[in-house]
Amino acid sequence: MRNKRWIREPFVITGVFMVIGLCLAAALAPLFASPTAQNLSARLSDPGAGLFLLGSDHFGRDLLARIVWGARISLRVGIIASSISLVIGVLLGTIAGYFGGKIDSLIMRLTDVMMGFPPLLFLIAIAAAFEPGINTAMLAIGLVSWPSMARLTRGQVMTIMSREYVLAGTAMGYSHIRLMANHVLPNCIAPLLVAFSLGISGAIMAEASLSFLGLGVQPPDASWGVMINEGKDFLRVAPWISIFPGIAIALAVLGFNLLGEGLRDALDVRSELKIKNQ
Amino acid sequence: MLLIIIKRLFHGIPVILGVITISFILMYVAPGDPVLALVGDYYDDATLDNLRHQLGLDRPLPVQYGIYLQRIATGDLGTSFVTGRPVWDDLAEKFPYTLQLALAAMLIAIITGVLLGVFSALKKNTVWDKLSIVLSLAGVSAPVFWVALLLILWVGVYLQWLPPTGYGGLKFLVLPAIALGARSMAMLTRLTRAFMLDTMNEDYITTARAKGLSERMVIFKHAFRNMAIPLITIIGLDFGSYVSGAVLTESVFGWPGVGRFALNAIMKRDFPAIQGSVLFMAVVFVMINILVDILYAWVDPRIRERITNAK
Repeated sequence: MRNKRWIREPFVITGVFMVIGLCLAAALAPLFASPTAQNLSARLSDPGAGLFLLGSDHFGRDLLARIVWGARISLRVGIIASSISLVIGVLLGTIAGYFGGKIDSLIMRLTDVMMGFPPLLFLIAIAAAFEPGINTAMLAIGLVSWPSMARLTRGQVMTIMSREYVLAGTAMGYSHIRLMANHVLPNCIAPLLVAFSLGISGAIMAEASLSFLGLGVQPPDASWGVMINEGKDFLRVAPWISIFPGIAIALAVLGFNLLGEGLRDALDVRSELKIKNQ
Repeated sequence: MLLIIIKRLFHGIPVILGVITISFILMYVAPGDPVLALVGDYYDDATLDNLRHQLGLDRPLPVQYGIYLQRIATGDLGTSFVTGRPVWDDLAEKFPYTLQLALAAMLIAIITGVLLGVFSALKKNTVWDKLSIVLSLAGVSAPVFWVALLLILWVGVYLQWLPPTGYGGLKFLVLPAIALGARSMAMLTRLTRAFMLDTMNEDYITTARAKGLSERMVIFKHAFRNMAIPLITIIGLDFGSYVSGAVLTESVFGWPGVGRFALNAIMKRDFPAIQGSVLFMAVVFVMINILVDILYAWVDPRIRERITNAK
């Protein structure tokens, strides 16, 4: 019965609707104007007045259209970057937890080192080392965020390794791969799903930050971070250029956060935010 | 306790070595020739080779790595291409500003976050409670650079209460500190609220109340003791990233700290400055984390015991 209860939680429902809304916006983007279409006779027009519901920017581009198109970029970066970190994290985490011993401590030291960098700075350094763009941003975010996935997976795998069915599998002479893929990993899915959802919101925020600094998605593409950065110079005369994309970021991040937290309650995953280095 | 401190410091050594190695690799794989960045527009091949030799860039990779380690061990982080000064001097000059901002942000976050959390828990399910929940959710989800711009616009431009950007005295510190601390404040509000609601029904709280203690004594003396660990976790994590350079906040407000220094270095492809500041901040970050671990042990005797008994 408790599986039904979480659906009534107002915050979780809000989260689900926000994520659905974001996906809808991304899917329906072609119905809106092109994000780069300029209307130079209607530059910096007020929200609601005239042509544009959310106003226009310094090139007379429709902000609503740009925000809707920006949803595509955010969603794409969020999902792909979080997938990259999931794949690397699950792979290394499973190997560490499954084999233990030297391999485990080697991989764990590596996560220690990776987590030794301040996250945003590390991200900026990687993104800056290569050609800036959406692909670099996704790769950089994935490469920076896998260690926590690896630790989570390792912890789960270690608990599951002591279960009877894994011992039974070992006794029956199953191969490592078969044991890992068929018996250990399927039992780690719940917490990984939660981490994946929270990872998406983290990646959306990271992409926005990188793009704001000019190190992520490049103009004229309609990334929310880019839009806020462009609006920065018109803050006094046309604050809406920066304000609306910021609301979009906050809603998208909040949506995936609420979804992740809702999943955590629904799937009864205990918070992994325990004391480090236990 | 001393044993724990030593153990934790030793734990940090491989991490710092790893950090040094990665920052070396990062600069090595980065496209763009640092020598080309150095010479400017007019050069011939002989100058390039000369410079390359001077900087040791023509040596095999392991040798370069060895030289790099040696230099760092003597505290030499190289000379900035842009300012022409030792990177270490630049960092040492900027760090106090960053530290100042980080401390102010954390102070604001702790005071408002905890008070708001307690308030919210005491007024559970009222409009005030809902408002503070929404506020804290917004604080966690809103991008810091956007909050910064809103503060500049609202407080700095419309109300004109405080200078929008720049540095110089306490007046300039307030807005960046609020922007930077907003996320921690929101997390602390949520944590405090959840903690209060959980704890206020515990037996030892009932006992404290039964002893006739005032409600304030019960909350601040008895309940809060047990919040120390999760509180330190959140504060430690965020403080580590504040002190290691709040790149976004510092650049929006034009704050002269290490975060903005690093960002400028990245924008100008100033390789020694990038490498030096990444390394510097990572070491600061690791140090803060070690400090947090030590704090855990200091606060909680159970953890102290576990660390002492391990191995």
